[in-house]
Amino acid sequence: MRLILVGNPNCGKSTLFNALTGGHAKTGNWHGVTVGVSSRVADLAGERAQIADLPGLYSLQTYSMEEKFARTEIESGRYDLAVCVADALTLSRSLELLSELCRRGMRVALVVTMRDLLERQGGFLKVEKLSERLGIPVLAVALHRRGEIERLRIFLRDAARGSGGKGRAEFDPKSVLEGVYYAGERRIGLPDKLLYNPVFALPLFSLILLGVFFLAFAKGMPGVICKQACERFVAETLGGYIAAAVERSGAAVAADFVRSLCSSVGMLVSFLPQIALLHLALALLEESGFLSILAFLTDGLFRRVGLTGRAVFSILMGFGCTAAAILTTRGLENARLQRRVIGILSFVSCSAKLPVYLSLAASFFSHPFWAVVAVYTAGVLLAFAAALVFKHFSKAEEEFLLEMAHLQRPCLRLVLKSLLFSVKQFIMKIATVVMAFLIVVWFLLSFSFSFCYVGVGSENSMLAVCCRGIAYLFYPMGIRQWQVALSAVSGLVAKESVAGMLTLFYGNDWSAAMSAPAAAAFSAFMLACSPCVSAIAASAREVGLRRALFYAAGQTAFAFGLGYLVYGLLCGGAAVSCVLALAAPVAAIVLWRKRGKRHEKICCAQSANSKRFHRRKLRARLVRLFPSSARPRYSRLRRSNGEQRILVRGR
Amino acid sequence: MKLSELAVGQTAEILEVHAAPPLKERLKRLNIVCGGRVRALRRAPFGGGILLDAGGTRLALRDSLAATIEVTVREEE
Repeated sequence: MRLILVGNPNCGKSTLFNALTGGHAKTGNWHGVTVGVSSRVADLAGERAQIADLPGLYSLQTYSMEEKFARTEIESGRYDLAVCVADALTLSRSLELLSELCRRGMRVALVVTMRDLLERQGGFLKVEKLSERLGIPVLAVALHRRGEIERLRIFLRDAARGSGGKGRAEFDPKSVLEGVYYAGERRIGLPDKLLYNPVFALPLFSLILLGVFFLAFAKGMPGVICKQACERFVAETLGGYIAAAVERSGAAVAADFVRSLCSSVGMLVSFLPQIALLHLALALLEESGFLSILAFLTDGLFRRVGLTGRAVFSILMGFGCTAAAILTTRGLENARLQRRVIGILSFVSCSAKLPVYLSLAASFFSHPFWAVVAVYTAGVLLAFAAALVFKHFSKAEEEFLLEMAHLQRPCLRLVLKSLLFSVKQFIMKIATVVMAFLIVVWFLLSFSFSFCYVGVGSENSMLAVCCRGIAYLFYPMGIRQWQVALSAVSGLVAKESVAGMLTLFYGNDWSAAMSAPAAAAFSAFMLACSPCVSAIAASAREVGLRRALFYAAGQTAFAFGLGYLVYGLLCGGAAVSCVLALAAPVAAIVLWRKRGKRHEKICCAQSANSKRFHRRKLRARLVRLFPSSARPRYSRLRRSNGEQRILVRGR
Repeated sequence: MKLSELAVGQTAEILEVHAAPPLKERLKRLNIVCGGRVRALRRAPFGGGILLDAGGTRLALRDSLAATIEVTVREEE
């Protein structure tokens, strides 16, 4: 038996899917969380069924990218029953999608979710009558309540077995609902009033972020205390115990190996509490529905850098994992926007880069908390700057249209479930990929080419001989040791391994590895360099391999440049910074003058268009006086119309 | 007048939607159709868009898109 879940975005398809199959499809209270098709086996009250979860779609005439995936899947004809999932608050809209499905001759059943919200608004739905009128089975559920899932399983089994009909091919969504459905009145409560108010909501959001950072990274806060306890347990107690046991059996090399592996892995695992805290905050934000408000409030800012408010979803997800964030970009309006957002996402530090920043900050700065905040802020600012650069390559105005999610108190069970899942994934990644990598590296580092044991960090080991070349790239960053260079390069496998390898070489205090300015330069390098292989693979799936590799190379080149610059600034000290501080405004003024002259020239040639040029100039300076017009912009007109261009140049 | 010019709190009836076909279809599904009623709830800061209530659905529209929709102000019943 094959079932497919079809419905509008954010109506609870993935929540339903997870509840039925025990899966871990990503859920969240905003539109466009699910972007791909996932499929799992479920037990429907004694019957096995394959259930597929689709991205939400408004209609079968597709508009956005993820809707296309959904439509192809619906049209594949592989499914016995289409389960149309509808949000009880916007039922009339979902019925239009249902009628489209019926017209295609599919067997359909209707599941109405969020019954509890409907009841709270004072609305009602007479399920039996609606089922009679539509000629298909209908069920209304409140998924967060106990016992509802069992009802749903039995309903789906019966529907799939035969009571699920083809329904009436033609019906008018409005008249069908007359007398059986009332949506109730949407009460505008205090949370609505406050959270939609930009003066309150934006500072609140910054405070939330800062608060989470403070709890996680400041001295004496739960994050740091848990971290130290974790580290002591894995690295010292557990590692020491196993190493001693191995040593007693007479294998000194093996004991060495166990000790260094345990210290690296222990150091990485110790970041779990802090990373979990970050994920918890993200999950709470996602479930509450605040993110879509944030997208609305910040669209004006994003418009200036050539993106749309929807980018806020991807950027926030980027704090968790870049690969996952790249996947969410499918929900963006078009492929051009998607490419740009993928291009800037690497500057948003993912949680795997966290151990590097924190350990560097702890080794070199007296206030690690502020150092980490500075690094994260710098990352976001860099991302915006990169978006601004991308904007200059294409001037097309983007459209932004977003449905707001209902605000709700986050369901604790769902939040904890998604938190546990991300914690499990972090541990799995450390225990598999990173550990295997560390073991291979340890072997290559400890043995020479003639397979003699030379000890970790020896100059004669295989890797040391091979890696001296890379170190030259890091010389201008103030890093003289090939071990650091090797660790930085290993970040390509997984960002966690950078911190793991540095611990392998230097233990917990990295001050032997580099000087303080070099540490700052190294942080800057880590911040900007290309994401790990899995993120590059994700972006290759979205934008093609060539482009993904190009992005990664570009980001890495930029990261080197940034690292050199930071080190130069910090070491050259006052002299260099004075020169730069003077040069920057001069260069800006020269560029400004040049631009202004060009505009003047064109304006003289085309006096009728002067107003539009003036506006364009204003836009170039990021100042907005007039609402943007829907007419085609002159730059594009000029490009498509050769005559006009000649006219301008001729004068 | 254009939808982008609607003041906060005003209710309007939609006269015409000048968007491209796929976008027009999407707007239709979100209750932005000729003859439909919309109410402006809020304006976004930084020159952002407008927040609308269209038949129970809350929508955020960028100004450039709202400017392609012709409306006329109606008194609320």
